Amino acid sequence: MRGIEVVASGLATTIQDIGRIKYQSAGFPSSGAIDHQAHCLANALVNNEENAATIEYCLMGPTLKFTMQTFIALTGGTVQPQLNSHIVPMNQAVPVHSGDVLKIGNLKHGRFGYLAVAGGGIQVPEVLGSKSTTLRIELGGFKGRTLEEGDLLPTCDVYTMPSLASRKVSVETNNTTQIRFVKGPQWNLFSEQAQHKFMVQTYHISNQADRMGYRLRGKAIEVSQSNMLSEGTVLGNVQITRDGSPIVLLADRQTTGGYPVIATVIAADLGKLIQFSNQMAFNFVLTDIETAVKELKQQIKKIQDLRKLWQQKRYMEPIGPARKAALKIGKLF
Amino acid sequence: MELKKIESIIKLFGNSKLTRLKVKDGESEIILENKIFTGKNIVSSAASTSASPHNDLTAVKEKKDQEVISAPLVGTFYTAEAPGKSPFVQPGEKVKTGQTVGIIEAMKMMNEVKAKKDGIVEKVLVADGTAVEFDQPLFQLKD
Repeated sequence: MRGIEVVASGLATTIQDIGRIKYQSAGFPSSGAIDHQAHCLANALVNNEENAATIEYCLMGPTLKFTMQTFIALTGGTVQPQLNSHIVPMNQAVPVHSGDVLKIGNLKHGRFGYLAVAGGGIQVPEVLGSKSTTLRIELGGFKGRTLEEGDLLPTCDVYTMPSLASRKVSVETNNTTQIRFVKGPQWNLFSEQAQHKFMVQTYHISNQADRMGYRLRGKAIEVSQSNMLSEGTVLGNVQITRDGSPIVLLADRQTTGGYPVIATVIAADLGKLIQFSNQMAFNFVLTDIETAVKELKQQIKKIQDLRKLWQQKRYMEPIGPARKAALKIGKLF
Repeated sequence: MELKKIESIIKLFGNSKLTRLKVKDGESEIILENKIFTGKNIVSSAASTSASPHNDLTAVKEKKDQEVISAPLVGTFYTAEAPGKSPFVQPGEKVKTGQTVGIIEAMKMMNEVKAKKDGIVEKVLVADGTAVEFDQPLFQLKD
């Protein structure tokens, strides 16, 4: 079988797409890429649908051997990937050939990175409409688990890539330390002092952080000790636990929760938050639902515009590898 | 002493290869010491006391590349498998390539730190339970 062979697994490397969003009512966590935007950008760079399965790695990237020809793109946390010992850039479509070895290496900044593979991504079977891995319940992805040395990931051969030369975007360095939120469903259950405290103090991400959620370090928020009925959770919900510390619920979050939700981080800012290091101090800023929607739409549009641009440029010089036969003929002379 | 004069002394000292400079001017006295240099010197002097300072420095640099086990990722460093258990390695112990010498906890996952070459642990550079940065030296080895 042809595909991608795992030479070294890296840390918590999994197959992810945009998530198993339709089965949360039945108790299945949605999962999917924790940095949704980075995943979508990686797919756009290699001309995939946004829902194509990518390889997500955490802190330590895997080493992979390709046994087919295709195009790849790396996004998310900063790495210095090497293809056959030559450094390849991030955020750019790169051709790979059979026998090539890609060493992604350790993340210098950020926590999660993505590798997209052209031709519709990693061809693992869909489970409940998604190729995402949910480790906790061993569901989906590659056998419901993290990748291991020796695994062979099925992918398709790809010979052509329209406007290959322009398929790159600059690596953004985001220095903002403000994370915007909209009021959560239990916002009014908190005293004015508690609300104020939540907005003025600086937070750090604690060691208690994984794909399910990030517990934050900061001064305790006074919380009402009265019980509430469990409610459905939403991506980016900020729960306040009994001891007053916030937990931001992320991709692998439980589907219901009983802690009061003070805030919901806006989708456009979640990618920033999940990539913060433990040392990064940040604070929460209140915004409204209109801004939240506008910001997310802008983010989506940015990638859509890139797709359009690459589509338009496909007949402009330099024309990317456009026909398989032409490549073979080119090699002859 | 005037501030400007002190400033120029610091500049001169910074550009020189001196490790320590003492200037006495009437009542006031200023002592400048290059700690980084001395720090390295201490490490290397343990290995060899006879070599000249310049040679010592290069020796340490080589040492750093070859005989240090660094953190493969950001996280919390532990010297033992669990609290209360004895550490994986102690100074003076032999380690072999691929041997687990410590653990780094990151994102709730425990990652073993492994020796990249054979050697003897000279020094554990980081205390148990401290937060470490990517590529931070954890162990000093000797042949």
